[in-house]
Amino acid sequence: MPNENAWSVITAPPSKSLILGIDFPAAGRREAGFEDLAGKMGAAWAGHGFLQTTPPPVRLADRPAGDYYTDFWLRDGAWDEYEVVAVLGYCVGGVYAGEIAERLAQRQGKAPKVILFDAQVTDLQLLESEIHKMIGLAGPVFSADEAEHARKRAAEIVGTPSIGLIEAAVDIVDLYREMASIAFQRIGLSDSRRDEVVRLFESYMTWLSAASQIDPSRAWGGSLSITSSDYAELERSGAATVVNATKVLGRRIELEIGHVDLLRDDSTVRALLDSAEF
Amino acid sequence: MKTSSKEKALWLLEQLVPGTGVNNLGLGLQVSGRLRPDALRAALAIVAGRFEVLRTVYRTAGADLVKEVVPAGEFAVEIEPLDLSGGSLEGDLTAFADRPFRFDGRPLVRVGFATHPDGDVLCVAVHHLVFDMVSVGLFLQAFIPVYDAVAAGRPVPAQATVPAPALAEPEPRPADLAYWREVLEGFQPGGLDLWCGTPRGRQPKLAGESASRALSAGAQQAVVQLQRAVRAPLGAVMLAAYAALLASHGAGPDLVVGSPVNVRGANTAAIGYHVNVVPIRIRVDLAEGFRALARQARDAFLGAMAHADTPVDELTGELAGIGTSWQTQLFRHLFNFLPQAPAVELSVDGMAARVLTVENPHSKFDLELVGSPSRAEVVFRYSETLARADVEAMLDRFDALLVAAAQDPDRPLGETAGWSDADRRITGRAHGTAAPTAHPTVLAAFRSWVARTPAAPAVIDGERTVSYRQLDATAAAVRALLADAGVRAGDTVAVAAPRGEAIAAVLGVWRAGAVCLPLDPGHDPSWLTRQLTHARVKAVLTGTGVQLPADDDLPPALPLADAPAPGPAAPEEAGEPTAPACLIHTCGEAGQPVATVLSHAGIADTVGHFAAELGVGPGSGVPALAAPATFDALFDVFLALSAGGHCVVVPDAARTDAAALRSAAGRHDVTVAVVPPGTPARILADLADQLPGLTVLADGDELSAGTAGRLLAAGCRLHCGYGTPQTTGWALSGRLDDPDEPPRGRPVANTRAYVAAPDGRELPIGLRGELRLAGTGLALSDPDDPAFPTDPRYGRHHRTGELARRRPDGTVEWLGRMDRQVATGDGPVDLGHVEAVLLGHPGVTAAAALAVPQPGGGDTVVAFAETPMPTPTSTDADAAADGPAAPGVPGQVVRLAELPRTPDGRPDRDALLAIARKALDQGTDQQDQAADDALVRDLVEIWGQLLTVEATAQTDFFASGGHSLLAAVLAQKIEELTGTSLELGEVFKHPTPTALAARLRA
Repeated sequence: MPNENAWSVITAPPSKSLILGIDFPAAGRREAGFEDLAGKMGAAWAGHGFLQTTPPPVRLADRPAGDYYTDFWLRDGAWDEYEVVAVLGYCVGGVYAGEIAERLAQRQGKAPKVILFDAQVTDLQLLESEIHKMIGLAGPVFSADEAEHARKRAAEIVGTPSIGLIEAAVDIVDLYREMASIAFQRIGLSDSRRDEVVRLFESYMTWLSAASQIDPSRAWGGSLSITSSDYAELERSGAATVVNATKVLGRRIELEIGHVDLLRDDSTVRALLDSAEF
Repeated sequence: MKTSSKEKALWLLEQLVPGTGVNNLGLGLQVSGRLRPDALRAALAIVAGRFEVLRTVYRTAGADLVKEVVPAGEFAVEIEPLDLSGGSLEGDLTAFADRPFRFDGRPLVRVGFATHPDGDVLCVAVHHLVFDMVSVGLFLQAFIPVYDAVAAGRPVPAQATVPAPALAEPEPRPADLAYWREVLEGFQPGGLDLWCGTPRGRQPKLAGESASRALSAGAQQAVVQLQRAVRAPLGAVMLAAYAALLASHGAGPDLVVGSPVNVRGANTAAIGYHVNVVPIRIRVDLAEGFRALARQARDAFLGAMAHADTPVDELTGELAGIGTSWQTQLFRHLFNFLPQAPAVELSVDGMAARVLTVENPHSKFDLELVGSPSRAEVVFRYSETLARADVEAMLDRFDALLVAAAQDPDRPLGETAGWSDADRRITGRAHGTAAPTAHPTVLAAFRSWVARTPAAPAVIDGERTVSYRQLDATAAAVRALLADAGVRAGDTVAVAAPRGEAIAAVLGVWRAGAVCLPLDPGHDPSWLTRQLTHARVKAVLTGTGVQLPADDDLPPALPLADAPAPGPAAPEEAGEPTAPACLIHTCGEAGQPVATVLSHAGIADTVGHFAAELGVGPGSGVPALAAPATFDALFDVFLALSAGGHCVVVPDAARTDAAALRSAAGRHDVTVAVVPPGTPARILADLADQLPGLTVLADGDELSAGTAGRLLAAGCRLHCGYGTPQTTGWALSGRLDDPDEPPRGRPVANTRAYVAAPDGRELPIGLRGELRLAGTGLALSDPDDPAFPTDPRYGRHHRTGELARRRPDGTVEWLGRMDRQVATGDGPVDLGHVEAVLLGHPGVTAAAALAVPQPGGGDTVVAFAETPMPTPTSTDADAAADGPAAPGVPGQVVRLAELPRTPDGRPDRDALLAIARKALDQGTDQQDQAADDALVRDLVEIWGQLLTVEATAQTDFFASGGHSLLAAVLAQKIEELTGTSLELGEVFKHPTPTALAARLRA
C-alpha cells in the first residue's frame, strides 16, 4: 500500500487498481466528501481501491511549497505495485490532483484520468472569504462592531499592495485567532479548545496557500470537470477563484445541484457513470 | 435574448452527451484547384456580416440558455487548418465537424481549410441552433458569388451584401397547440422500443451508423401501384410502410413518428434553424390491411403539416410521461422523406467544385428512414441501440412489406409485415425437425435391446449389476403382480421405491398399459396422500423399506418383493404411442397436486433424440442424478435403456457430494451425465480425471459461464438444453463450445420451436418474444388450458413464458423467463442468472433469487444460497455476490443450511419472501436498538441543543448545520458529561451520536 500516514483508505484495493481522492477532509464540514461518493458509486467502482489524502503535519510558518504536499503523498509506499487509474480532486484539491496525476503518469507510463469537482484556484479573495464564513457561523457571538472590524481587517490584509498569498494567509490566521479568542471566551470555552480550532484553520490556510504555487492548467486541460450550481453562480458573479479555474478546464459537466451535495448526489453518480471510464 | 423551447430542446439533448457534436452540421466543398485563404477569410467575413443568424451566439445561464447577436464589426471566424491526416477525406471532415461547440458566447460556426492533391478542401461546421440541412445550400448560394468576386478582385455584387436579419419564428399559435394536445393526448412513449437491439438503459446511446438498400424492382412497382390503390401520396405510402415495419418489430402499436418539416414559408432564403420535427401519431392495427393504415398515415401526415409552424417542443413539460431525457423522448423514430435538392454544377472562382458529404456520427433517434421521392433507395440511420444486422434485416423486410401490401392492400398486415424471404427461409429450415422414430415407445426400444444384448448390463446399483434380460424378467413379474391386483390399461399406478427397484416397476407398469406416477418415498406423508388421492391411483408399487401412510381410503400397496417369480408372462398391453405414459405432480399454490401428463411418443422422441445427440449406446453409462418423482429421473434411466447403455444408480448424496459421485462414476464407465434442473453442474467439475471425454447435458439457464468454462477446459463435451415442466424434460438443445455464449439450441426431434409476439404472431430473426413449442413432447392438456393454445400453423402448442429470439443461423437463443426479469434501480436483472452464478460457487447446493417489491416502487433482489456444510470462513456466498455483472448483484445474499421447500421439493418462494423481507429490515432494527442506549440518548440531547434540527441517534452533526466552532462546543459539553476529553478530529470522524458513543466506550 502507499504510505499510510499520507493516505486514508476509503475502499481497500481488491486489485492492483487505485483511485485517489485529493481533498482537505479533516474539517468537520457539511460538504459531502469522497467517502460519500465511494458509497454512492457502489459496485461501479468496486474493482478499484479508493484512497484519500491526509494533510501533512505542516505549519504555515514552514511556508511549504506546492510540491511539499505532493511529495508528502507520493513518497514511500509500494506505488510500483499499483496502477492509479484516476485522480479526483475536490475544490482546491483539484490543483493538487492535476499535479499528482502528472507525476504518476511519468512513473507508471500511463496517465490516470483527472476528474475535478468544483475545481477552484486559490486567490486572496478565497482567503478573505474564510473570515466572512467564520463570522457568519459565529452568528450573534460577535457584536456588529466586532464583525465589521474583522471584515475590514480581512479586506485590508488582502488589499495590501503586492502581498503574497502566504503572507496574507499568515495575517488571516492571526485575525482568526484574535476573533476566536473573543468568541471562545464569550461562550466559556477553554483556550486549549480555541487553539485546536485555530490549528485546524491554519492547516486549511496552509493547504490553500501552498496550492497557489502550482499551475494546474496543463493537467486540467485534459480533465473531466463536474461542477455545481453554486459554482456556476460564482462564475457568473465573476469570482476570480472560479473564473480563473474555468478558463483552463477541459470537458465540463454542469449539474443543477449545490456544492455541498456534489459528492453525494445521484446526478453526479450518473455523470460519472456516463462520462468517466477507467 | 430569450431562446425558444425548440432551441432549448436541442441544448438539453446535448447535455445528455456532453463533449460531442451531436447537434453539429457539416458542409464540405472541394474545388479542382487552389483556394485562397485571404479571399476565403474576406468572403466569410462578408457572409457572416450579412447573415445575422451566423453571428448569433449562445450562453448557458444556470438552467437557462440565452442568446445574443454579435455586431458585424466584432464578429470574426478564424479559418483553421483542416487536419486531413486521417484515413479518409470523409472521416476527416466528420471529425472536424463533430468537435463540440461551447455555449459561452463563442461563434457556433467553425471553418477549416486544407490544401489537397485533388484540389483544396473547405469545411464549414455549424451548430444546428443556427443552421439546418436546407441552410447548407443557402449558405453556398450566398458564399460562392462573394468569394468569386473577392478572388477576382471585382466588387462584391450588391445583393450579396444586403443585410439578412435572423428570421424570427412565429409565436406559438393557440390553434396549433390545441391540435398537438389533442393528437398526443394519452400517448405513452414507453412503448416505442423495438424488440431487437439492446434494451434501453439509463445511458443514452447516440452513436450513429447508416445502412441502405436499393428498393427492388418489385418494391418500386409496388410503391407506384399502392399510391393509386390506396389513394395516398408517395410520402404517405412510405410512412405507412415504415409505421407497419416499426409496429411489427415491437414499437407501438400506438406510434409517434417524428418528421422534419421546413417552416421557412415564404422566406425561402433564410439560413438558420427553421425546421420543425412534427410528431405524427399512427395507431397501427396489424389485423387491418395496408389500405387502412395508409389512409390513417396520410391524414395524420397532412394534419401535422398544417400545424407544423408551432413546434411541439412548446408542449414540453405539459405532456405526461414525455420529457427531454433519453427514456422519455416523444418519438424515437424519424421519417425523413424529403424532396432532394436538384444537383447543380458548382463552380468556385472558375474551378469545378463538388459538395462533400459530412456525416454526423450520431443518431439522436433509434431509427431514421431517410429517402427521397426521386431515389429508389432507402437509408436507415440508426443509433447503436440496434445492431447492423438488425437494421439490414429491417431494410429487407421494408422492401418485402411494400411488395406484399401491393399484392393485397386489404390483407391483414400481421400476416406478412416484418418478414423477408430470408426470415422465411431460415425459420422454415429450422422447423425441419420431423424425424422417423426408431421405436414408438421407450418400452419397445428397451425390449429391442433385451432381444439384441440380453446379457449386457442395464442397471448397476452399488455392487449389483442387472442385465437387460434380468430387468425384463423383473418387469414381467411386476406386470403379473399388477394383473393380479386388477390393474388394467389406462389405470394409474404409483411407484414408491428406491431408484434401483423403481426401474423395473416403471417398465412393469407400462407393460400393463397403465400410467406411471413416480413418488418420492422421502416426501412428507400428507403430500404423498394428496398425490395418491388426486390421481385416483389404482395401486402403489412399493420398494424395500418403503412405508406408505396408513389410510383405508388409499389404494392398496403392492410390495415389489411380492412380485411372482418369472413364469408364464401375463399378456402385454400394446399401449398406443399417443397414450399417457406418466403423470408428474408439482405442488400448486394451495398445496394441491398439479398433474402433468406425458405421452409414450413424447418420451420416446425426446429420449431417442438425446441418445443420438449425446452419443449414448451400448457400453455407455448414465448416472441417475435426478431426484425421484420428477420426469428427469425417468429421462436419466431411459436415455440409457432405450439405447443399449446402462444406468448407474448413485446414492442421493452424489447430487451434492463430489466424492460420492466420483466413486460411483469411476467404477461404472459413466460416459454421459445429465445434470437435472436445480442441481449445480459445478459438482461435475469435481470428477476431475474422469472428465475428459465425458458428455454433459445441463440446463442452459442454470449453467454459469464459470462452470461451463471449467468443464470445457477439463475436456468435457458440453450440451446445454432448455426444457419446461410441461414438456418431456428437454425441448431445445445445442452443443456449447464457448462458455460466454448465451445458451441456444435447436428443437429436439419432432418438436418445433418459434418465437412469438404477445398477440401470438410469429416473430422473424433477431426479435425477442415468447418461446413457443409444438410437437410430440408436449404434455397432454385440457383443450381450454391457456398454456396450450392453438395456432393455425403450429396447432396445439405450449406458451413457455421464456424470453427467446431466433438467431440468423436458425438456432433459438433463450434469454430467461419473462416473469423472472426484474426491473431494479440498477437496471434489469434476470433472477435465473443470479441463481446460476450462485450455483457456480463451491459449497452452494441450491439457490433461489427473488424480487422483493420496495416501498418506493421497483424491486430489490434477494438471493438465497443453500450451504449445508458450514465452512469456518464461510465466505462462499459472499463471494458469490461478486460474481454476476454489476446489475445482477443481489441486494443481499442470505445463506441457509437448507432452503425451505414445497412438498414436491422445489424452493418455497412464499417462505423465502418472508425471510427476504426480514433480512432487508435488519439494518433498521440495529439502528433502533442503538437509540435505547443511555449514552446515545444523552448525546442526542446535546446534538439537539446545538443544532436547529430534531436530532436522532443517526443525525450527522456536520450534515445538519454543525461546523468547527460548534464542534468545539460539542466537545466541551461531552467532556463535561463524560469526563473524556475528545479532540475535535474525533468528532469529525464520528459525527453521529451512535458513532461517537462507540468511540467514547472504546
